Amino acid sequence: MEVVVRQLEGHAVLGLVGEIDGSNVGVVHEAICRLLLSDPEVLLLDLTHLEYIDSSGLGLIFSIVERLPPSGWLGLMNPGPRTLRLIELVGLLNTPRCRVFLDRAELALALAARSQTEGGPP
Amino acid sequence: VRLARSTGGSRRLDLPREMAALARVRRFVEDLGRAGGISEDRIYDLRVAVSEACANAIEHSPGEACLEVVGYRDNGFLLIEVKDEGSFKMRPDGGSGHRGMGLGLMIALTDRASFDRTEGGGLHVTLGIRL
Repeated sequence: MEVVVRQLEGHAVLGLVGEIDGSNVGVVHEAICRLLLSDPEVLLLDLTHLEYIDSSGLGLIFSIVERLPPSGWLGLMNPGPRTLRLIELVGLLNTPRCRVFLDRAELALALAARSQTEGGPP
Repeated sequence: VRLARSTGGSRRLDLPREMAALARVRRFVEDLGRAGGISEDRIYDLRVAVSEACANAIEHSPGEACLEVVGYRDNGFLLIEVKDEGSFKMRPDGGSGHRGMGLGLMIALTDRASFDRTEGGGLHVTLGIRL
């Protein structure tokens, strides 16, 4: 399992590569804690190369949403069909402030809408 | 890890009681599923369910003995039994509030899920999908 951090239009993207389970979820947790130190409004998880995630990893995703500021959101980018099914089963699709993006255009629109409202009234 | 073929077409994996061993049990399930001609999607479901059962056992019943994982066909099902002879105990939530999803996944992703407490306080979890 590998965690790759990059930036996309000024937002942090955490790429999760390989299989996440109870043996390595702590590594992902630490990487996320470092990113949350700067109180980001938007945090993105790139799931393109995520091959497996278990309940400990899914629980971590829920906890990230709770730790973002009230106006912020977590974006889950490009989950494969099997990951998407798990995300749906545990209720992440119905979690306010957690958004799933199946393609780049969708994400670009959301980020553009975000930057338009930035600095304005809530 | 010992992988032995026993009589009656069942296969057994002795899994060390550590999270680092979870990937091995997922491969074990994958191999059994493919040998049984099960679709990749359903194999994935069973992999998730069995991995959760093993993670639960590792988390809730510490001990030295390996978990015994047995896979076999029975009456139109591929069944995987996770036998934990330790003493299963509830553990307080670490505060995340998101525990317990594993049980839901085991039930939602399989066609059969059963939980049997043994007289010695162990727990046998049987998870299966239709062939």
